[in-house]
Amino acid sequence: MDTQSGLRDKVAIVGVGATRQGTHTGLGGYELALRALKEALADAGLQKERLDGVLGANLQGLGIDPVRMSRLVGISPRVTGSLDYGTGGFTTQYAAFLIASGACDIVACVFGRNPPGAMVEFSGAETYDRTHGFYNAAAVRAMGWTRHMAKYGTTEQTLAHVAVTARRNAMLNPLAAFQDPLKFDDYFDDPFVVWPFRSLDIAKVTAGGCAIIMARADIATSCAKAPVYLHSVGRQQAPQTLDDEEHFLLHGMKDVAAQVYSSFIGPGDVDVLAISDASTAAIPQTLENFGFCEEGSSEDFIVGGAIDLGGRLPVNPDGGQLSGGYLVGWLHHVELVRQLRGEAGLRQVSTASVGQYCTTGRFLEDYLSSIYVTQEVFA
Amino acid sequence: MTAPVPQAEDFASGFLDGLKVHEIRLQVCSDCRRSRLPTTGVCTECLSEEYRWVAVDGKGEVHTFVWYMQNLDPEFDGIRELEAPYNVSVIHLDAGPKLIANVLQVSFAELAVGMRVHPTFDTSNEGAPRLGFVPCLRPVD
Repeated sequence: MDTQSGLRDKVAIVGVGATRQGTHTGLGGYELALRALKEALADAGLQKERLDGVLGANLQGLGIDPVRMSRLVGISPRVTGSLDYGTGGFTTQYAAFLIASGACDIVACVFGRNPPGAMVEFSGAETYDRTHGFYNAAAVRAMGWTRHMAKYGTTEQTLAHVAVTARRNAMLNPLAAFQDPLKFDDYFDDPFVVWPFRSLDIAKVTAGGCAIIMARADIATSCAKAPVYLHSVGRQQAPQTLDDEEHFLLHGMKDVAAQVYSSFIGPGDVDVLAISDASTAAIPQTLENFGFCEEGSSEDFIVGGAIDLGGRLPVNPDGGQLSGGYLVGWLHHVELVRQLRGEAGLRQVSTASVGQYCTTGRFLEDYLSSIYVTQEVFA
Repeated sequence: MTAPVPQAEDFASGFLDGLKVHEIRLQVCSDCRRSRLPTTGVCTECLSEEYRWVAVDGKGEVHTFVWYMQNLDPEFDGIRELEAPYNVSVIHLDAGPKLIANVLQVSFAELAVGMRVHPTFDTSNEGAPRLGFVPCLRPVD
């Protein structure tokens, strides 16, 4: 039996909302989340009373308590929950569990925050080894890129292409945080922060809100817009860390790939890919581990233009976390829904009916991927 | 200001005691012989709680590394050992496990994945011995 096959196509995203990302002076996380939730309800054509589950999330002390959120909007859900380390995919996976089990019919996933230093401070503030000065999640990813370069002969050209592509896409996204043009020269002129990463390789924190409403498939078909079905989810915890021979090359992703793909859908069927890109190196490493290209060959794939909007596998058309906004993986799901509905405007990927999301969490210990499809794919 | 004292952990003292006498001591499972690094109360292989300390030859190779070219966190401002540019490296010990450390007496241009290194012990701060590594081409201190 396929892993988590009990979820397959039984739950759909019916409504999404997101505020502009960037700075929001004077607004708190709850106000930003509320604006996103109102937009998502209107998007779904649902009254707030129809929500019988509300999920929030908490990251590094900032986040949304779902009980407080429910009180704020005047609803009485059957189930609430809040994930610690509730990045986007982890939270939508739990919403799907609630719905597929019959505990809830319609669940709102709600997140928002207004962190200090929006648009300026590096994401990933965390300390791993105080004695030796090993801190910030970006440094962990940089370890992986150093290893990748040594093992496969890859170069900074890969990262430059990722950063420039993200910005080019963000300039087509009216909600994106970073919209100033970025040229290759700008990238190479940017000083190193944690070699091999420059500042432009690391996502900056941003303020914003996001809401994703999910419903049981039979309810989803009566909502305002075409449902976007959750086809599959793969998740793997891999806490053995340094004992794994290639821990920094994110091989935990391979276990997730084995779960998320099915006899119907493999990497060759994916039309648009969302990669949680807290740093540029996440993109080449994800492409290799999920089988979008051969191990060690991501530089040719990326520099050859495959991930560009007009390429054969567009990645993060909204600008991702690097340029679109860092809302800990939530916005990727909003973008995949908009792409699969054909609502992405100037950044629309042509004929997008299968979208995939991939993320890595904590000290490279927690991997998740989800695949979303339109009705046409499995009907 | 010197580097902060390492976090006190129940099972870390044996490792630190080794550093004080210029030894890398691994916590080795008494039942399945797997070494536990970072130190821990339970073997992740066989769940045994029994262990003994075994001194190993500390040579190894650089598995990967980064260079902090700027200081990103004010908590680390003013720490002599961690003045940018400094590297944080993952050392794959010949004895098996990997650990996080700084490679010392090495330039940005020299440090490389696969470089052979041997340990060096800074015991000038009595309560907080520091383990570092230097390239094998350099003499032992």
